[in-house]
Amino acid sequence: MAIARRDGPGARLGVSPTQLIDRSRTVAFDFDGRTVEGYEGDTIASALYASGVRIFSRSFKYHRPRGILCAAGNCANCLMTVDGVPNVRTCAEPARSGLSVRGQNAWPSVERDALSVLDKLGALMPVGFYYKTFHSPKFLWKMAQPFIRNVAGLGSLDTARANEEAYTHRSIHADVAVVGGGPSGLSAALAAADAGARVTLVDDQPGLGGHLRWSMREYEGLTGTPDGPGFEIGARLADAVRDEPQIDVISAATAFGLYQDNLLGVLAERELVRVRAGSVVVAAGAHDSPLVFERNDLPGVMLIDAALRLVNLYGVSPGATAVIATTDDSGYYAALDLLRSGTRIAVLVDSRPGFPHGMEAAESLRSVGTLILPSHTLVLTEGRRRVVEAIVARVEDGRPTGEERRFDCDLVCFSAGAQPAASLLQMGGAEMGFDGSTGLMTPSRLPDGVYAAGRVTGARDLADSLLQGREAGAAAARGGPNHLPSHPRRPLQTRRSHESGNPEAEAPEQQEPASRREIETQAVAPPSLGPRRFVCICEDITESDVLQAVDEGFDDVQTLKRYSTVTMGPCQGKMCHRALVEAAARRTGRPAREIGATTARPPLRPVPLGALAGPSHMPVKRTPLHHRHEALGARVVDLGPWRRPLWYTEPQEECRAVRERVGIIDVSTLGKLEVRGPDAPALLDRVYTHRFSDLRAGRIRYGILCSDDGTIMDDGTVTRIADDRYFVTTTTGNVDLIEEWFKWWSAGTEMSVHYANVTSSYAAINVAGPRARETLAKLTDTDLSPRRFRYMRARQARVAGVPALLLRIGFVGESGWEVHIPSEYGEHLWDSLMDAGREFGIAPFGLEAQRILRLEKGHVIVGQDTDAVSNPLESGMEWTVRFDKPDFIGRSGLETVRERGDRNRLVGFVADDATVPEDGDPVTVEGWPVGRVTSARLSPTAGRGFGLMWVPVELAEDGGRVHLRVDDRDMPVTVRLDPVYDPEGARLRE
Amino acid sequence: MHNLHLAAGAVMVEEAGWSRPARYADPEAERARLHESVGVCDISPLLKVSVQGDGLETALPELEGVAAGRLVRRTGGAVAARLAPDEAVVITPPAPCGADVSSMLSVDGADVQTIDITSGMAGAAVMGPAAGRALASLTDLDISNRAFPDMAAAQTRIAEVYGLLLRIDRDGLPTYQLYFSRDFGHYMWEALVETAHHLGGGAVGIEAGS
Repeated sequence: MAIARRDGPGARLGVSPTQLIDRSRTVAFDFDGRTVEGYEGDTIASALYASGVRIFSRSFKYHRPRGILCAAGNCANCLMTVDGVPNVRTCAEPARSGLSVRGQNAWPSVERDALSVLDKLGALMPVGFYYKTFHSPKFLWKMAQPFIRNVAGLGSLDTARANEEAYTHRSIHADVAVVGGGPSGLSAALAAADAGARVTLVDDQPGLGGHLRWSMREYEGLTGTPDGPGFEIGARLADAVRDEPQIDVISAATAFGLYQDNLLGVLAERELVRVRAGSVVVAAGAHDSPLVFERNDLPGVMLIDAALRLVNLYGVSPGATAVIATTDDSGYYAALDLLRSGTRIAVLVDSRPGFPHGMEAAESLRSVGTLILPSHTLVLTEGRRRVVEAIVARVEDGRPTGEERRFDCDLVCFSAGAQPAASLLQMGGAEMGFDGSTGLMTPSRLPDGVYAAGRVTGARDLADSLLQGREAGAAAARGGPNHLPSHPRRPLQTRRSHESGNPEAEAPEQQEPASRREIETQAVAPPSLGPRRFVCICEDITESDVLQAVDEGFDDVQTLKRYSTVTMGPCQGKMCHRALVEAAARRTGRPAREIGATTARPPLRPVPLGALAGPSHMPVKRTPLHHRHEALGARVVDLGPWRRPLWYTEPQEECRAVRERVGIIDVSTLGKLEVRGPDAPALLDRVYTHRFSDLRAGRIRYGILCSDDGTIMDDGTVTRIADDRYFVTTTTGNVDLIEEWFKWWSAGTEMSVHYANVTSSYAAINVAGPRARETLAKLTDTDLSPRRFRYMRARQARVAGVPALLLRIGFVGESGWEVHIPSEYGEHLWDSLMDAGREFGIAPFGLEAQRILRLEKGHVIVGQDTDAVSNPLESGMEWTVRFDKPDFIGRSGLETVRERGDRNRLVGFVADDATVPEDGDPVTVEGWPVGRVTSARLSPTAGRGFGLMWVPVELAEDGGRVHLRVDDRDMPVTVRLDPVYDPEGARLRE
Repeated sequence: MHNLHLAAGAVMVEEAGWSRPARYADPEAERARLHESVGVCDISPLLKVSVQGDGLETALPELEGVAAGRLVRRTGGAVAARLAPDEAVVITPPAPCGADVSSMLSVDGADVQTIDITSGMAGAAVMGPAAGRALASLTDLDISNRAFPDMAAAQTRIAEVYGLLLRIDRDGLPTYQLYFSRDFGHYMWEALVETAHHLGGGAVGIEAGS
């Protein structure tokens, strides 16, 4: 199946069945000012590569040129800004016409980056330089900071476009969620669906099949599938999955986190999907990891899989002459594919000793004359802006010897072996172990409900992956045991096994510690010197940086990670974890298994914050009168979830309207509860400090709710509508809490009492002021005269033609009524009141005016004037506590307070002038703080500053003088035990 | 939500004292939404009554043997959703304000409390083949056909707001009714219509939606 190289620019290969591109449809987009053409099916990166682009980005620290490394969306090498969105993985982003693609982290362009001078100044940025450099002298930091800010980071956000990024959210529930659309994932999904489960399959590639999508390798003897090339087997599995109605496939989506109770976070193109699954099968496969050698980051140096993807998925030739460095069989199969595509293989080096006799691919390569060098590895590549030469050396005892050979090339394909993509398993709580037979970190124990299959478990061949998938899928559907698959491990082949031609016969021996150590070193690039041996390509950390960090004492992998930042870049350890562990192992002299693994945390891949935020669902409560407030031009503020008018004109003026004429305020936000049933009186007596069983129908009483320890929870009015029916108001934010509280204290008792939260059923308007009666009288037939409708009485009557509940109460200190009306008539009532009061000079007033007015009356706002330790006795509300009734909530706490006596008191104060302290200003005695101001305002009636404050009980003497610390000076104020306005409450009762 | 309907150019009609959006622009397009994607219809005026007490099955005999989380149809186009052994919500077509709900439901004499919560609960129907998809973007609850079939009821969180969710399919058209605190009406209506827009749907008036 040879693919002929097609002539002409672009180095596109001939057609092959694995290719995704549609050559009949071209796309054109802009890349740093020039037009690049590609085909539909291309990614941005493949189109760029085909058009000759080799430098895709500039590195994080040294601004070194970087090219395609993984072509799988794992590494940071191809991050670009696409249509203003920074850090797009161009190797995974489909090429589309009209895109604007910009290189990042470079000026003026990635091709010619002025900052590459930093590459020459590496000594200024030693490992951990964040912690070491620019700290002293201090002025240096001030100079360095703006520069560092400018240079550091990846990409920049276009703030003008920020709001255009609209992500939606979706929840999916599945019996089994499968992560990974490769052979093991597909067979797991099919097996689970066979067992009757609803399956959701998440795959991060645009098409199903995993690595089989670009596999030209011929397979035979697999269970349940005819012989044939890999891509055909993959396509058959993918078709079966697509035809299975029980399986829901989410393609091109990353499962970025596995959270408690098998919640998977999945990022699809413009959607964040929460998949909640009964069990999860992780079949995330494995990815090639880089070898470490001098200048292993040059453009043209890429992972073996990356080259295969370019060839087989996009029909792009990765280079004319390749050097291949491998540590396992995969390099040989890749070499065959490259040969077929027309790339010349200069040499294939294998770190393992001995020619792998019996391996089909190796024999084929040898038969066409490809140079194969066992016991060799890469030590150096040459080239400035792309690779031009590779130097390989013979390995002995895990170390390169001086026996070096040079090869001209424009492509280096390398792999230190496939690293299992086990991060999701780790997030789920899997334990990881070092598998000596493969040199890999693989899961050794899985948490309940989580299964694993395929290469993520260390499986090395297709038959194992398919079998494991079937077993895991069936077990996940049944809730069966999740022991790790007992596949026969096919270890890295050693000289002995190759020579005997029977690798399995040697398998048991691989478990021996002695041979295991041997294998551990095989995967390791032999140590050699050189300043540009990159371990972490995302963050530009070299091997010598890691070794230096170990020498500085960071020899634990967790602290080493934090100090050096290796594994903390965009790839989250996918490219660098293995090399980090190996470098640390070598320097500390400990085996890799003891070094362990860094902790995997979500997100596995960079996730835009906008995706997590999703559509803006910030629940906002609006009162039924909201549009009236808006029409009046009110200044509206957010108070908890509510939007409330703070003022309409000017608070002091609004206060005067209430004191002198009549005002109305929207109090619909008050919490309102209906408490019903024969035991409603008993319940209220129990939860309130006050008594309500003796309250007569049609009357209102103020009450305080205490928690068990006697501190104030909430307050409000309780109106008895009928013998078995009360109407209870709570403070605005607390109604849900109080409803719960009531239910808590009645649940499990024999009390017959029921609740309904009717907060939003009623619009409520407080009509207050000397002309309130005249205003309201125009709208109702009920007798409002002072003797017929007394203070603290309630009545049901029609107001403006609508059934209403009228409560005569006076939070603001004037005679007035709180009118509760079905909320759909709220605007009607508001309009009617405004019309009726026009002749009396009616004015709407907002929260600020209400706060001033109530403060003049000394009325407490729970949560403002009281806090978590305030009790009603010290707050000046002893009259609400009825010790003469049977037990009530908070009684014992309050009895303790009564016995020990008051320590502090909440009292009023009046300033000598119009100075208004801030809420929270301290009360001082001889300069020492002894109390604090809880509320302070300017009194519109007295023209002086006044408010409420907590003081030690000995200072709570009417007329006494204390000091407040206001703006760093002591200000004398006079203690007032009575309200500053209408102390006798005559106006309330008028 | 009334102001939002007006702002969206709705033609309003009067029904049992309620002003309701008959249609927004094109009733045919609204009908098409219902059958092709998803429509959102304001059903706030439906009469909602909370019935609580040990005499629940005496008051509402059709609830006998009905588990919590299910609902049953009553005569006159009403439904009763059982929320707990001693608690149900009855939803009937709109009625004039101030009606005596206990005699309307003919539950007088049973050991129950009936509380009219019509004014406190706004409602929206989410209808159409994409209705489930729309709700799946707003709630964590499993609302698939298997987990939440026709005549299922749940108290759950939708678009961050706690409310009541009922499934009452009409002629095979998946239909979810949501009831939530009226204060959230404006917010919820915007959230629902925006979600419907993402799926090619939108608001529908009562001509198309009921």
